[in-house]
Amino acid sequence: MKKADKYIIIGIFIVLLISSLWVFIYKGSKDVKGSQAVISKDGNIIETIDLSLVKEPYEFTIESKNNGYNTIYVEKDKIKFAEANCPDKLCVKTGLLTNTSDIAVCLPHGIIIEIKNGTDGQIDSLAN
Amino acid sequence: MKINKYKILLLITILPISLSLSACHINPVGLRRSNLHQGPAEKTQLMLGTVISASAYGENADHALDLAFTKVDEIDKKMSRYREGSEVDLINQNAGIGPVKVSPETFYVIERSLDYARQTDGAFNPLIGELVDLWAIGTENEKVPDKKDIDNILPSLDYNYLKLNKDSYMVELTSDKVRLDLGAIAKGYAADVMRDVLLEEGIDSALLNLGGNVIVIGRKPDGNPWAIGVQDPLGSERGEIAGIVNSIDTSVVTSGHYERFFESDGKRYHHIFDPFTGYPAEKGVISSTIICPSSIDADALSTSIFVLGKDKGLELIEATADAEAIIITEDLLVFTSSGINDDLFELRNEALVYEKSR
Repeated sequence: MKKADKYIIIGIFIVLLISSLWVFIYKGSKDVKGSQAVISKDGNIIETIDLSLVKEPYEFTIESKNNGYNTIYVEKDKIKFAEANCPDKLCVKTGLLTNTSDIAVCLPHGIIIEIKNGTDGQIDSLAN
Repeated sequence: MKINKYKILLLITILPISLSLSACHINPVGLRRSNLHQGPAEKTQLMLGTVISASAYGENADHALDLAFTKVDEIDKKMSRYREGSEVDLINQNAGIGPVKVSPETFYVIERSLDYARQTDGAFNPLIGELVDLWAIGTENEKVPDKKDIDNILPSLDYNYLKLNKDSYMVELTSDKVRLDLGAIAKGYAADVMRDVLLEEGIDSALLNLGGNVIVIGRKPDGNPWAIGVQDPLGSERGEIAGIVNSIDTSVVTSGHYERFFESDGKRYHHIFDPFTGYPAEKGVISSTIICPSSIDADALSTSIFVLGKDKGLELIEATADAEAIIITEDLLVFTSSGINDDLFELRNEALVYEKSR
């Protein structure tokens, strides 16, 4: 009786160890694969932001030729062009990007913001 | 007694952990992630005046994407109206002067747009460029033009001014007031070409998005169809969807009144023009989605439906082989062609309802 209990306890401990390891690995991979905002300029990636890890909202500015600039606003799971001095302001009009495969672009300044690898995205791409 | 305490303690600890373990096994997100792990080749470029992004799976995928983008660059150089020295520019420079010899590729695209102009009695119009420039929607100069300026342009939108000679690949605009613009169809053509390049390179799973024109090869690597969202025409944020098209080896193209527009005196002016009035099309359509294997067809058809309205638009779709349509009208009704079923299209927005006779 006592011996059997010992085996049960050891067995349970092993299961416990494996399950916590599993949960740990699972959680770990989830953090790595949060939705990423990839910002590129003239075809080169200049910034990659893991949006799921953003705590406080912040802004930063990208400068381009001829005194061009785009201010980008970032908050948890969201990103947008907040301001720009391009002629058409289509980048700003695009608004907040949240979903996988969402894209905003400033053609005059050659800047693209793309959302990738979002785990909660229900779509692979957007027809619009 | 002692051991019993341990047992209870352990059971309490294990129960939630094993629950989370099983939840993780059935989580479809977990499945998807394992496929993402292999990773597609991805590429995004600014071409054709828009952003083109592509992902393809397979050993050769990187190389195949490079080839596909090179082809789009060639198309851009030949068919952009705004590039000095492009074939379309040369045709326009010689408007009212004489014919211009073009490449078979450019000829094909012009021929197809003329086909669509005829088939839609001019609702689809490859000569609309002057009108687009006058309104300048999406630029800093956007404005409601003087009626008299619009009326001046209307006669030059007659597609009979466009003459083609297939034997010699000659294209001519027979009036100096007429300008050719392949903008409504070039993205669709480029999508078809990219797909063909990838297929030739042995790619059997890929997703291409050319400024909102989507084309897919095969299925996703996990065996599911590609889930292509249709932009919600009412949504305030990009990426809000009206529904999902489950897509295998097809193209999905949506035109919407939300794409490029401005408001003046409380009225919305969008970027799809009615060549008969010279104003943005007002036939009650706010979104039209075409699903068909050929993206050049999808591109032309989605634009045509805006100008034709839902009734004539659906007639056109039913008469076109392999094409299906989802049309959303301003009274928030959803009209579909006969081949659309719940497996192909999932309506996801409760504000939208199918029209009754469906």
